[in-house]
Amino acid sequence: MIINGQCLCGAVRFHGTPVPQRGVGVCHCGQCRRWGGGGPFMAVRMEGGVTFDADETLVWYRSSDAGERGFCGKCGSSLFWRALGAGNDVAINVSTLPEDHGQQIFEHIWVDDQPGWYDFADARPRKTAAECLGGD
Amino acid sequence: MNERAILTGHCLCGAVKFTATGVPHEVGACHCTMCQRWTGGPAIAVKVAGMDFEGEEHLTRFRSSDWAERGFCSTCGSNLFYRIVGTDDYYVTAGVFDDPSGFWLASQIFIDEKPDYYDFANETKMLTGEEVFEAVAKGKMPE
Repeated sequence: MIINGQCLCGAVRFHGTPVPQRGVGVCHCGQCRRWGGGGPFMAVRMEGGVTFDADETLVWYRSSDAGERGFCGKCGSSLFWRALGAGNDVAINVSTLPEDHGQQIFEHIWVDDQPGWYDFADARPRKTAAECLGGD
Repeated sequence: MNERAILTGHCLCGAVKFTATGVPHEVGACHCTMCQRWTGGPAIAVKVAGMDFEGEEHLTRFRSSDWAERGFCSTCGSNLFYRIVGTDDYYVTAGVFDDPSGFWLASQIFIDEKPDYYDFANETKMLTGEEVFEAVAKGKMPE
């Protein structure tokens, strides 16, 4: 299933196919919360990455030894996280995609970095940083 | 409102730093589709009384509607604030403060635009988008 996504201003547009049966990963790490909207960064993974229909304003910022983050330099939308050396695999801000493709939370990650003043109501798995780094 | 005098903060790369004054403990989540598309989830922000920036040359302001702009770091892309243009009403994202301890989630707005796949467990005030615009029309911006 190919779906289209775009940033807030529409300058960055892309399409791809979400990893089947996976859903939304919710990252509570301090970097995601500082980079995004103060809460967790909610992302879906695209199988084989994405194909860009427009990317002139796309900026990549290397946020750690492990990964880099892509955003629109015109409107500032936080769009992508990808691991360095992991090929085309990319995690995408779920809200850049249409709402009607059956999103469900798959897991919460980096929950030991989550502040105490918010919590989510679902009962999906919660993984600490150590559990995340230990693999799936 | 129980205010703290001053809180400092910075974006992910550190190019933009700020000092916020009159920072309350109450933070609010906005579920509107624009905030979600901009940040990658509900935007959780705190309304402060004033903002003083350092490294403002790295700050980009995007006019996202007739009445508001969104500020972000042009180097790393950190989403920093939502501001009502022509005012000092800055809603600063909760993750960019150096010391975010003491915050509590007091309200959720545009709850009618929240997608079904997540819910906060916190008990908060909730306003629909229509209720937000009604409050604004009466001159009372949500905290």
